[in-house]
Amino acid sequence: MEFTGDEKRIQALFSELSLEDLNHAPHFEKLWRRAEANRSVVRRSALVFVTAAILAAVCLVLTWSWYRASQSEQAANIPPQIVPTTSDARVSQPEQSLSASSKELRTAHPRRMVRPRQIGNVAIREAELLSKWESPTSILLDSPTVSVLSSLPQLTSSARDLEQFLPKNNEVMKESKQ
Amino acid sequence: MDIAELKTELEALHHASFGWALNCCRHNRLDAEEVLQIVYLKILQGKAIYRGESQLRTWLFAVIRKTAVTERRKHVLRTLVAGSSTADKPYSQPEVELERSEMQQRFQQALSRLPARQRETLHLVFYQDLSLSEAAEVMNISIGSARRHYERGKQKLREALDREGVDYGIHWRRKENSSAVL
Repeated sequence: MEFTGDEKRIQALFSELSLEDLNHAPHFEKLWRRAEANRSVVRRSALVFVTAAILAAVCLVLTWSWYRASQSEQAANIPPQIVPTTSDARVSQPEQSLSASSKELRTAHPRRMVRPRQIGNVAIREAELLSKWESPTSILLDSPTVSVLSSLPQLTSSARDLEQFLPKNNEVMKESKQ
Repeated sequence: MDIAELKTELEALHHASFGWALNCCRHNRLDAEEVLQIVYLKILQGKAIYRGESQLRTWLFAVIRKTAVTERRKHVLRTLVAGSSTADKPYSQPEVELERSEMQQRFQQALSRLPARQRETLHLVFYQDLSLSEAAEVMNISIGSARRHYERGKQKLREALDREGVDYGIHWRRKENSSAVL
């Protein structure tokens, strides 16, 4: 570009600046060698990073497969559920069976996703047990008159049997006098 | 162009590259060195590839400019994270300031007060002897914009120099005389 007037003045100042910069410029070889050294460092670190990432991925896959295998083993080792059939057993064993089934549920919790049908069966069994459960002290609440209070005379019973439900004549007289 | 050939070309352009890097780093020599080293690293790694679509110098200057901008952003971010407020301050190096002539200091102060685009255009035209179209290519702007930055920058610099009382420098007179001899 051709410069005139003030442009020449500005160019003079810039050329002085360039001369000054020239004196302080670093050697090309120095910068180039440093860049080459950095390249090898970057390459090495990239290699280390890639190796670490691959190792981490392999470890993750191995852990996951081991976890899956252990889960399937646990699912296969579930003991069969014992359902009590007699009334005594119903009275004496419900807590045990409940605790056992709840333990089973606790251990079976992670299996929920693995075996939903099995878990459903356990829940049904548990609900059945709960509905049939009776308190062991319920016998103490029973009284001898329960059968009288809870029953009605039947029309088909004999007249003599019916008489016992009628008030006696003496009692009727007393009431009338009063 | 293979890497050995490119290295030779880069070596020939090294001083000009350093001058441009200095301008992009507000005349901080350490930063300019670092930027230039990163540029060479990019070339070695193949991140910056010269395809021969433009002159090597304009391509190299564009890479330097982009790298300097990126590094400056990183520097600002680091400063923000560290909580220091030196991000926007111009760099100052006392030992370098002493070496400069008073006139040159005034000139550089006037230059540093210009907007970045205007300063870059003036540097590329006056310092690197590039044409306006080449400067536009380096700065990735249209030639019209480059011309506008050039004219405005020149006007502002002229006013600042007149205000500061900066006249023709010793080197300029020396250069004028030497050319007269030649």
